[in-house]
Formats: sequence, C-alpha cells, structure tokens
Amino acid sequence: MLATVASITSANRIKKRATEYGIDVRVMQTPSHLTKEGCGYSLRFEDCYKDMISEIATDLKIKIRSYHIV
Amino acid sequence: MIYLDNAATTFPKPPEVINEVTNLIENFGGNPGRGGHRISRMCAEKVYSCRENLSKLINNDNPERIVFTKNTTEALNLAIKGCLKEGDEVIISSMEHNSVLRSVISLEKLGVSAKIARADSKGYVSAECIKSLITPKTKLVCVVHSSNVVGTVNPIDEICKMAREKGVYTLVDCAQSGGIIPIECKYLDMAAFAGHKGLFGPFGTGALYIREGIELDPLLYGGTGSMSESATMPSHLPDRFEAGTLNAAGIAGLNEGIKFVMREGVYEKETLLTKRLVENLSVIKGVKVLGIPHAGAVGVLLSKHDPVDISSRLDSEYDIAVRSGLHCSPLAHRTLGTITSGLLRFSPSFFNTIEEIDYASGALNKVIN
Repeated sequence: MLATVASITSANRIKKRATEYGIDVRVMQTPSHLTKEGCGYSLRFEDCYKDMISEIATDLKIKIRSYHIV
Repeated sequence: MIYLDNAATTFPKPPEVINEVTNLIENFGGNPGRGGHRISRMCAEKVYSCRENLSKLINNDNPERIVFTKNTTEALNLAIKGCLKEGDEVIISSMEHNSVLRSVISLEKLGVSAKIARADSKGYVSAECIKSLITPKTKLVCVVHSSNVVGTVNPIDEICKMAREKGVYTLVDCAQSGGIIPIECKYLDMAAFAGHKGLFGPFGTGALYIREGIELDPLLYGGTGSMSESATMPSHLPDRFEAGTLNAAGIAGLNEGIKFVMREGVYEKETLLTKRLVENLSVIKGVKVLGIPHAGAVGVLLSKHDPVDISSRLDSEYDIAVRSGLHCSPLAHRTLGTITSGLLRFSPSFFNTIEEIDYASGALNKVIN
C-alpha cells in the first residue's frame, strides 16, 4: 500500500516511528498518476499496517493525503 | 595555536563532524528530497536526523518546525522579513547584532517601525523594559539570548512568556547560546541558530525554529521537491522556507556536531573555562571585564591600548587567536560605551583547556603591561 504525504520530511518522520514499531516502510517518490500537484513523496508498506500507519500519522499530526493499493 | 575565537566559529570541529561531511559527499551525495533513488533517500534521512536532533536539543516535538538556513543571519532575516508588514512595530534590544538591526532597518521603507529596548550597562535587557514599549501595533520582539560581545545572557523565557501574554511574537537570536546554554522552546515563537558555532557544525549551516501557528512569508522562492505544479510555495514546513538544494553535507556534519554536544554536555566545561578567564583577566592592570560573562564570550576593555593592535600582537607573538573590533554589533557597543574603542573578545570553547586560558591571560598581561 502507498500513503501519500506532503513532503519527504513528513515521510521520514512516519518512517522513523514506524520502524521503531517494527513496521517495514519505504519512502519513495509518489507515482505521477497518483498526485495532482506534481512531485511528492509516499510511504510504501504492507496493507495490513494501514491502521497503524494512520495512527502514527495522527499522533505526529501529519496528514496522509491519500491511500492507494498497489 | 590557542584558538579563543569560538564565538565567531568553533575550531576545531569534532572528528566525527569532518568524517560525516566527507562520508556524505563520498557515499550518498544524492540531492535530498529531489528524487526517489537510494542515495537521494539516504541523504534525506541524514537531513531529517539533524532536524530531529536539533529538535531534541530544544525540546521541540515536531522536527518539521526546524528550517535549515545557511547561517543565523539568514534565519533571522527569514523570521523578521517573513513576519513584519506595513504598519507593524518591532522591538529589538540594544544588544542586537547587525543581522537583526540591519534587517529591521531595511523594512522601515516598507512602513515598519522599530523601537529599541535599552539594555543596562552590563548588556542585560529585562522583560519589564520590553513590556513598557509594547503597543497594540507591536508584532514582534527580537532579543539576543547570549551577547556575542560580552556574553551577558538575557532572560528569554521571561521575555517570551510576557510577550505571548501580550499577543506579540518573539524571535530569539541563539547564535551564541545554541549548543552551549540549555534552551527550551516552550515559550519561544521563533529561534535562530548558528550551526557552525556552539553546535560544532561546518560553515554554511544554520536553522530557524518556528512554533506551530506562526505564519511567515518565505524569504526565498523556488524548487522544493514537493507540489511542483503549483506556482506558489507550499504551505507545509519545512519546504515552505527551504527553496533550492540544501547544504546536505553541512547538515550531516551539523548532525554529528549536535550529537557531540548532547553527549559531552559542553555547558559545564565552557562555564568553567569562562569563569577562570574572567578571574584571570579581572586582575590584570588596564583590563576591565564588561558585561556578565556566562559561557563562551568575555569582552574586555583595554584602558591604554587599541584592541586591534593587541589582538594582532597576541596572534603574531603568542599564536593566540582572539577577536577585536565591534563584532558586527554597533548597538551593543553603544550600550556598553565602547563604540569608539571596541573590545577585545576571548571566547573559549569545549576544546580549550585551563592551561590555555592561563597562558592567554598571561600573554595579555605581558603585551599590555
């Protein structure tokens, strides 16, 4: 699954916290067809971790712009 | 050389700082936030790590509120010019560096008016003094944490707390204190840091902390690696204020410098060295220690000598590096009554020793007496 965020800093914040919880997350550029705003960054992780990633983002006050199944 | 000009820039740097700069350039020098490939991502993680560690240092729980700049001056310019608009008033202390004074004065032509809160003869500015100047038009208070001229430390928590109660933003110049004197961001709205001074990073590194809820206009416009289809700067931090490629190698080195500071606890040692320096200098005939030196900077007035000549002789005859002149702070020198003479500044740091302090004090005594 992909979760898109505003910046690579937001992406790295979530990744850092997720890694501490043992979740394997990869930061990547958001594929062009998934963003209307041009360049951006996303987090890629196993679908089963969506709720945990969402909780982490909420805890860090980071808005996840969209989720996409890949 | 005995280097006692650490208030200008710290020297030497911890070996891990130098190694990390080289490591980044040699092994993962991709542009952070400008691609999806491995070395770009690795580099971005290094940059993020530095944001996180600087946040830890000031007890800030959101690293996205740390904006990297090339130095304190740029951070102060960003805060001042991004905040103030026509009709606003700004209060600055009379101990401010030219990076604040000139930025503020440059806005007068745009209809921003500046007031100066007069510090006492030791360079100390009280919250009460600033409070007495606040009007409904006051938008911002700028105050230096630790004077780069004489080391006097201002009560920033008290000042910022008072200003917040009055609905006025605060900007603290932490160029000299960052990494040395413990700083809590609890009451601070904005704080500017030098990477290359007390944080032991390389040249070309600085940062601005911006509290959540503070909205500023950018100083620079350009690419951020995000929201590229938009013709305007993104609203999210840090991208909003970080147009253009970052000094990633410098920031990676700065990260090691911050870790060094957090590990070693430089404050105790610098306080000890400063205390010894003040004790030594205070008993030399013809030398007057000004201000209330705390940690890092000791400014002395020489009764019969030009500080420029003396610093030159200390350099050539004793291999001692100190700073003379006005230290880019004419306001502070007017406050201290030293605008015509200037001062001789000794600024020790973590890598100095008591023996070096004693040697330098003895050398000054020999040169002037």
